[in-house]
Amino acid sequence: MNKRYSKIVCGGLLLSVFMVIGTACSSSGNQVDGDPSETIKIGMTSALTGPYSEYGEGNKRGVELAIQKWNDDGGINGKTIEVEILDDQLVPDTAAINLQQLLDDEEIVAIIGPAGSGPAMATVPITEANGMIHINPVAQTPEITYPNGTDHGPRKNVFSFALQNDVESEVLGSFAGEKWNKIGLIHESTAYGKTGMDLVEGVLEDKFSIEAVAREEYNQKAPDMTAQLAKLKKAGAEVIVCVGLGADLANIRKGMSRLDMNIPLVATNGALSLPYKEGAGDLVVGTIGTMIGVFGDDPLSPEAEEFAEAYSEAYGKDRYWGDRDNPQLFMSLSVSNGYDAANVLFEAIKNADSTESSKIIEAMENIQNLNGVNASYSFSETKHHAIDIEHIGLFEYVKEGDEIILVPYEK
Amino acid sequence: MNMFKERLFHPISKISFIILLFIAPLFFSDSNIQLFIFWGINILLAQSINLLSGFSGQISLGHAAFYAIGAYTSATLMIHFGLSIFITIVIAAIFNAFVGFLLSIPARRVKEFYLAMMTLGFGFIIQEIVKEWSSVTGGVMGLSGIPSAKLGTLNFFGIQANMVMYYWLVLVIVIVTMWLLKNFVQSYMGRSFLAVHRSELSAESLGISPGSAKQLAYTLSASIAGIAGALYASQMAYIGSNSFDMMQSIGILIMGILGGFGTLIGPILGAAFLTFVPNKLQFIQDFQLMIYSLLLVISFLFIPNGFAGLLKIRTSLEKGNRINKSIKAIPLKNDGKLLNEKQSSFLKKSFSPILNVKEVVKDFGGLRALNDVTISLSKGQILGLIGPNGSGKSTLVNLISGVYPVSKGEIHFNGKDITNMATHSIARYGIIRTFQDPHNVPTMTVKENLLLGTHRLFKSSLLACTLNANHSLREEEQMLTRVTEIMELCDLTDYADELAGNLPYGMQRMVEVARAILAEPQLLLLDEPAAGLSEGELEELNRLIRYVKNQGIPVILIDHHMDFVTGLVDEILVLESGGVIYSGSVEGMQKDHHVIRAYLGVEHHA
Repeated sequence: MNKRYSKIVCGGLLLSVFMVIGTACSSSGNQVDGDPSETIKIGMTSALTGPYSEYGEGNKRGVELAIQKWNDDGGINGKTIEVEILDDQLVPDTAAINLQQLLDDEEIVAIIGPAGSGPAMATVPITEANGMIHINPVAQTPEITYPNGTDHGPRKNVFSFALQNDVESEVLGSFAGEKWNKIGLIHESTAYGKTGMDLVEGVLEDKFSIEAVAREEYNQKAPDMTAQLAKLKKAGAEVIVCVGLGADLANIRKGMSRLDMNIPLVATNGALSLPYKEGAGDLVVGTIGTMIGVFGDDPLSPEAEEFAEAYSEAYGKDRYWGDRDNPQLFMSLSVSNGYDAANVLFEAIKNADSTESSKIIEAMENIQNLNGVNASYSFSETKHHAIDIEHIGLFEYVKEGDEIILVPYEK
Repeated sequence: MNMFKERLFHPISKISFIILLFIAPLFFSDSNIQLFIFWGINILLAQSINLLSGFSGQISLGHAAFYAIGAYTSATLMIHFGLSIFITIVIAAIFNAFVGFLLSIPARRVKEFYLAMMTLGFGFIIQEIVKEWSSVTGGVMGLSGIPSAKLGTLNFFGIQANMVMYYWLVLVIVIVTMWLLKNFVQSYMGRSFLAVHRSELSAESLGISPGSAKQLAYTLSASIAGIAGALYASQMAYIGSNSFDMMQSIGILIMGILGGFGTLIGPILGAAFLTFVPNKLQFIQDFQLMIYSLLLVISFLFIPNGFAGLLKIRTSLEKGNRINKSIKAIPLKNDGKLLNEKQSSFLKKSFSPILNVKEVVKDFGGLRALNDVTISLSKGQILGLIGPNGSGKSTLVNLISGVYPVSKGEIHFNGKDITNMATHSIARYGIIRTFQDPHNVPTMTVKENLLLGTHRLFKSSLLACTLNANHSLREEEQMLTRVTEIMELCDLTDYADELAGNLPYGMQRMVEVARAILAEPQLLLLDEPAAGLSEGELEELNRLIRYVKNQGIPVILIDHHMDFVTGLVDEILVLESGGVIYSGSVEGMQKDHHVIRAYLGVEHHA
């Protein structure tokens, strides 16, 4: 009886496998609605599920809001925009497979890339070889856009809307160097953490001739950072500068409290993320973080206002939005960057009046002072990234009555 | 079902299937070609873990480390030295084999949880090295610019390779690897892996060294994973340390388990599941991880033996089908002249002792299990060993066969000192034993189990076995002939292809005794072979032992079955509490009052 049962189940399993393999051979290009000459199709692969879906899902919403906005206004030169979004769960292999699948679809004219440096590095060489325009909305590693370093030229086809590591580190390093002399550094052992901290160290040395008192690193999701923090404390650090993500920052902050380290914590954008606030609770007060400043403005810029309205209408004031009247600062890295990326891309397609990659790229490089939510966008042949030092602000958690809020840091 | 299977495995359908695989990419889109390339790479990974965990039973939770080493070796050689992919694949395979060999040195000494922990640690170490050794591996930034067919930067002999050509390369490598693997697992070496998996002690008793078997398993398995890594690096054009984390190791393990460990078809299906299903589940978006995990749970629950178990696919572990079937034509003989002539003439009965056990003592902690036992045994002689439970009979057998070290005393065999030698070395000298409970490999057929007995007689090299060299096939054929003969003798022919684990107890016993005889022992130790046998089976066993005696092979026989023992033995040794209380003829024993009191029963005084 059991045997028969298992046979049936397994039959079903195998059937589903074969069904799936069957669709593997016919899946590309079967989702076309309408006449291809009347639509413009873009492809996107991002982390929509899995443990790192925060950025991917947000980006997807941003891109979809932009598409909705354009289509409501009649599309690009009369053509409706369509998007095919695949899920890579931030796994490089999957991202590469997805991208190939998107490239197979001959109607797709542009790619919006994955939500992390690993999968981004795995996908840009493919589009670069293919020549198709590739928008990088999230991944912070500069090498994605500038493979030979920021002082060399960019990849012809890649345009970045991300807050690049080097920009963020420049702000972080300058701020710390101006205020403190004995600086302790800690970072995660990823491409993001390592290169970011190298840049911070460079800024400290070149601009202020300061050598950090100690530099420590940790693995993402390490449960305890006491050992590293104790070393920083022993070295006599007056401030701790961190390049890392929110959840780990919460651990660091709690570790500092346990070790009775009453010194400021200054960190990258992770300090403004939800996991940090949720993880560290009341301890966040006093933490200073760098972030794209747009949602800290009061009142919001007209573009930000328009975006905020569109978002709250479509999704309500959910966790991406935060618990306040205005969108939380972090939205500029999870949603509005995707929104801007799509808007600017569509503008370029419109200006090019063509779906040929080379023409779109040319139009993209000609975009000057186009106002978006996060920034005013200008690209050129040698500059393929958008977010610069002037777009970045420093924010601090302060206690206001019973509430903890983020305010622009007052020097 | 059987007809279907026969048709499925018919050479013509196999060849047409392979041809189909070769022309398929011409009709595929690039992304599907890429998926199939990943399938190929995953097959190699699944077979790699299958060889290590499925066949030789060594669990590995850090298999992605081998994958990583292969990928980085090939990638750095291609980037920095501009070597061709054909060369880097070979170097990656060899280098990985070396690393596998090194890992096996500590790994073969530990088992189960400790092994799991060790391999887990190995995985982490390699991942850390990849992260930290940035000058070579690119560190956390990863390694870009690896020549790849999909970027048009890969050359095959000066010709720019496209995806289809790369697919063909992967296909050829997979097919060749599968062929070599098949030859390997069907050779005596492959069988020894399963024997070690089931019971190291029993494998040792047949002359298989578990240490070397494991070492070979690690070496080969690592080498296959290295090839997979090299192919992966070139396919991706970019590799980062995150691609080789714990999840990857678990993924590899799942492919093997889900497909069916211990078969060759299974891992192919498991790899297909992990390649295609997650990719095609994308359309369900938010629930895909949940459904994927659910599928895994369901399949582990209902098909513990994997897809192969479900489809009742079993990989044969002998080359009987490969060698032509003329063996069956050998006429039935029952006259005790079955083993080769050389053997029997070599073992003519003589009076010079072949085994000398001198004043042997065995202590277990404070307990003296065996006290000052001395025996000598000549060719063609059967020595019966009796005594009440706990009198030291099995201990004596365990000492002679090297399972326990002796506390004092010496054991000489054929003029050589074998005191405290490893069991498998002793077995190689020709001392073969059986156990109180049958130690067959339950997942092997009777025929394969019997072939296991001939292990120590094989001489073919690893290369000859995997390449199916003529002389190794002839050797296998020779052994198969002997197996067929002994099966006739023991009435096991009808059960030749039955799994040993499915046989009734008595028959399992016979298989074990027959297996021991096939090892062409120069001394046979039988530990209670008659326990649990029916009358008929007892007679069969009796015949078998007489047959051995006729060969001139000396036997030490332990049993409680007095009639059975006294009918067979030339001489008898009675033990009590570790000491010898009688040694001599059966007739003498029956009159000896020590023995009568201790064992045969005390006269009652009213």
